[in-house]
Amino acid sequence: MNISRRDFIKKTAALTAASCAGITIPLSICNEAKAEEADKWVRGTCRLCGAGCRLELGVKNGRAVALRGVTESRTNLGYVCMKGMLFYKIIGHPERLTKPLYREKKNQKFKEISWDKALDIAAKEFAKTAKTYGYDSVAYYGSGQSQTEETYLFQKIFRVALQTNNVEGNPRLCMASAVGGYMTSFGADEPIGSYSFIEKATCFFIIGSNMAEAHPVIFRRVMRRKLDNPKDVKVINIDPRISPTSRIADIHLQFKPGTDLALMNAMAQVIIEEKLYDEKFINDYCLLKQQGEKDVKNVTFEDYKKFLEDYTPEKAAKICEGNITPDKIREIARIFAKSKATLSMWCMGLNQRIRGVWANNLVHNLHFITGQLCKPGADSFSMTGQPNACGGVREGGGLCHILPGHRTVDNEKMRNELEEAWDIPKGRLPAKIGLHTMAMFSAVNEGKIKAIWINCTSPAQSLPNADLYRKGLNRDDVFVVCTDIFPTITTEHANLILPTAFHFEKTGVYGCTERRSQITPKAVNPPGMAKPEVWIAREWAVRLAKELNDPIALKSVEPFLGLEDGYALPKAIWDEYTHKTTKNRDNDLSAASYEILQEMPDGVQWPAFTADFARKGGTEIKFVKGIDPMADKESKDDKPFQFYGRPDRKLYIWLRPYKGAAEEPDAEYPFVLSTGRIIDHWHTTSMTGRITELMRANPYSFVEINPKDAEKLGIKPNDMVEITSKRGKCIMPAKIIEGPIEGMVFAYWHDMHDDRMINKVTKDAFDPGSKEPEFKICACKIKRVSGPVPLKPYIVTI
Amino acid sequence: MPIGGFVIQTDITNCNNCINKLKSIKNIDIHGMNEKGDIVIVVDAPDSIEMENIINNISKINGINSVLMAYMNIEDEAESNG
Ligand code: SF4
Repeated sequence: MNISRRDFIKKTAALTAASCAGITIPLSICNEAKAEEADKWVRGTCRLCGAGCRLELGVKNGRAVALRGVTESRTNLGYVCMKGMLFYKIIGHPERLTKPLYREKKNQKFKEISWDKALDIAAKEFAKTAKTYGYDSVAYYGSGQSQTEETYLFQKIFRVALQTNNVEGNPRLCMASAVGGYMTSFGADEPIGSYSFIEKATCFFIIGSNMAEAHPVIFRRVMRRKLDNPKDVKVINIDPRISPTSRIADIHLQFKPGTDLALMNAMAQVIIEEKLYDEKFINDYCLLKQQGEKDVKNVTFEDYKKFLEDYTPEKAAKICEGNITPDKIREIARIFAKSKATLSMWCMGLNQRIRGVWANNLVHNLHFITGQLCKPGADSFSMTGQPNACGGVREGGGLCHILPGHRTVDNEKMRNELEEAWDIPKGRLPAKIGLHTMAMFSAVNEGKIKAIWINCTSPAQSLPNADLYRKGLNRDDVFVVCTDIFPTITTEHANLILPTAFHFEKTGVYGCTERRSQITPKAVNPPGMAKPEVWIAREWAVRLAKELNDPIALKSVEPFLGLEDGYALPKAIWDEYTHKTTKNRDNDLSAASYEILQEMPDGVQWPAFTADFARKGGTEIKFVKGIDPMADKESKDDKPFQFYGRPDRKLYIWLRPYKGAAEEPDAEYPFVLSTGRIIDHWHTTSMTGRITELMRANPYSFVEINPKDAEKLGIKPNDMVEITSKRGKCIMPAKIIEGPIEGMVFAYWHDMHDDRMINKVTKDAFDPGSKEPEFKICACKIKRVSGPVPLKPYIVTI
Repeated sequence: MPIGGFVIQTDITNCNNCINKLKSIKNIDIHGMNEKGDIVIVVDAPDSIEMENIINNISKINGINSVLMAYMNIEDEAESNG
C-alpha cells in the first residue's frame, strides 16, 4: 500500500472511530474515489458471541480487506471487541476443511471423496439405521452458532423424514435453564426488554455473568452508563469470583458457590419485610405458585412471607458465607427495590446449575414483587452465550421438546398446525419428546443411537464428563457425521466430515439476546468444495427420501428443490419459517423479510407482523400495549401490560427453596471447581485457536487459585497443578490471583489439549427441569505436581 | 500492515494520564477525545500480531476501562495471502 493511500486509510480509521464515540475531529479525506477501500461493504453480524454486534465486511477482488462496526446499530453502536475484530481471519484460513472426508471404521485414515458419494453414504446410513433399529435410533445435534435457516431445515428433515424428535443442540448446555425460567415465570420465552434499557437503568444487578469478558461490547454500554452517572447508577455484582466485571461494581458480593438461591430469597424477604414491594403490580399481574409432590399449588402472599422466614438475611448470610453479611443483603435489596429502574443481567453462572431454572425464577421473582418490569430500564434480562441460540434453536425448534414458532412437541394442536404448514399428513410428526442432550449422548454410549449428525459444534470437548461420552462417539457401530469448518476433537470420532461454508460465505439470519433477528448475506465464496449447510441438508434429504422409499420424507425439502444456495435457498427457507410457522405466534417474524432485514442496520425485534413496524425495528418492550403490537392484539382488559404468554395472563412468583450443588466438596475433594470463558477465546478454540493473535494472548488454559489456598498447598505462580474429580483429571499451570473465593478454583474450558481439557473433570449432573448440566460447580482436589513447564498450544488437525 | 481505528474508554478523572501513557506507545496516533473520557486512536501496526500486542498493552494501562474497535483495514494482509 503506498503512503498516500495509507494516509487515507488512517484518516478513514480515525473518522469511523470518532463517529462511534460522537467526537468531531478536524480531518478531511481527499482523493476518495481513487483510494476506495473496498469494492463493496457487506453488512452482517459478528460470528462469535450472543451480543449480536453488527459490522460490515469490506470486500475487494473477492477477498475481505476491511471491517468496521455499524454505528447506527442499536446492538453495538459501532463497536466491535478484539475477538470479533479478528474473526475475519477464519475466512480463507489455510486449515479450513475443503473436501468431504470419509472412513468406514474409526481407526482408519480419512479419504477424500466427492460430494455425491458423501451424500449417498450419509443417506444410506441414516435410512438403513432408521429401518433396522427404528426412527429413534438416529439423532441430530446442532448448534447455537448455526444460522436459523440451517437449524430450521435440519429439524424439519429429522422430524418429517426421519420421524424423530431426537433433535438437540448445544444451547441445552448454556441456555436451557433460562428458557425454563422464562417459561415457568412468564409463560413465554426470551427477555422482555432490550439493550436500550442499559442507558435508562439506575441499578444493574449482574449475577453469574462475567460480561466484561463474555460480552465485552455490551459491558462497555453498562460501564459507560455507570461512568456517566457515578452517583445515580449503582452496579451490584454477585459472583463467587472477582472478575473484570466486578471492577465497576459499587458492591461485589462474593459467596460460597451455589448458595445464591438463598441470597435471592433473602433479598425478597427484606423487600417484603420492609414493605418495598409493589402491591398493585403483584395484585394486577401475579400469581404465587409452589411445586408440590405431584402438582403445582396456588399459594397466598402470606404463604410466601412464611416461606421466606427461612431466608432472613441472618440465616442467608450463614448459608452464603464469603463477604456476605445481613447488612449487605439488606442494602442490595433496598437498592434493587427503590431504584428507578433495575436491570438484572445474568448468564451461565445461573444457567449451568443443578437448579438453574429455580435460580432464574428467583431473579424474575425480585422483578415481579418490586414491579421492576415493562418500564424503560427495568427488566429481568438473560444474556445469551451464542450468537443464534435464541433465534435458531429456541425459536426455530432446535431442541427435543420444542417445534418452530415456540411450539411444544407434546401439544397435538401445535403439531397439527405444522403438519398443515408443511403439507404433510396429519399425525406424521412424532408425538414422543426426543432425547435431551445428556440422554442423547448416553444413548450413543449404550449403542441405542446408531447414527448421529453433529453440526457446527464439538460435543466431544464441550460435554461435561467428556471422556465418558467420547467412548460412545468412538463406537464403530455408531455412524457419526460432522459438518464443520475445521477439524475438532469431535471430528476425530467421525466417519464422515463434510466441509461447510463460514459466516459471510453464505446467507442466513442470527437472532441475538434481545429478540433481534439480523441477516448476514454472502460476501465471499467458501474455500474449495465447502458448501452451505442448507445445501448439504437439502441434497442429503433428497437422497434420504429415496433410500427410505418415502414420498412424505421428500416433503421436508420439496419447496426448496433447485434453488441456488447462496441466497435463494436460505431466503426460501426463511420465508417458510417466518410466514408459515411464526405467524400469529409470540415470536411473529412474518414481516421481517430478507429485504427488510437487509434495509435495517440492525434487523428486527419480534413480534413484528407488519412491514412498517418491522422497518422501525420491531418490538422494543414485550407485553406493553402501545409498544408491542401483540399486546394490543391480545389485550383482554384495560391494563397497560398484557402478559399473553399463558391464558391466565399472569406472571408466576415461585416459592423455590435453596438447594445446593449436585456435588459438594468433601474431605477427599475439598475444592469447588468452576469453569468459564476468557476474553480472547471462543468455546472449543477450533476457531480462535487458529487465530495466531488470540492464541498468542492466551495459548493454553490455566487454573486460577486463591492466594490463601495456594500458600496452604505450596503452589507458586505457573507451577503445574493437577485438578482431579471423581471423573477425571487435568494438569495445567497455576495462576495465583484474588479471583476465586477461598476454596474455589476456576479454569477456562477452551483448551483442546487432552491434559488441559477441563470437561474431563466437570460433572454431568443436570437440572431436572431444563436438563442443563451443572458446569459451574463440582468437587475437586488440587495438588502441585511440578514447577513451571514450557507448554505448547494445541489444536487438532486431521 | 493493518490499520485500526479504536475507541478507548477511560475514567475521565484519569484521562490525561492515560493520554500521556498512550503517547509513549509506538505506532499510535491520538486523534481526539470527548468530555466523557473516550479517546480515539489509530494504530498502524507492521502486522496483526503486533496490532494485538499494542491493544493488549493499552488495555493494561491503569485508568483504561475498555478498548474497542470501530474500523480495521487488512488489505495488505489479504494481498500477501494471495
Ligand atoms: S461482543 Fe460478542 S458479538 Fe460483539 S464483537 Fe465481541 S464477540 Fe462479537
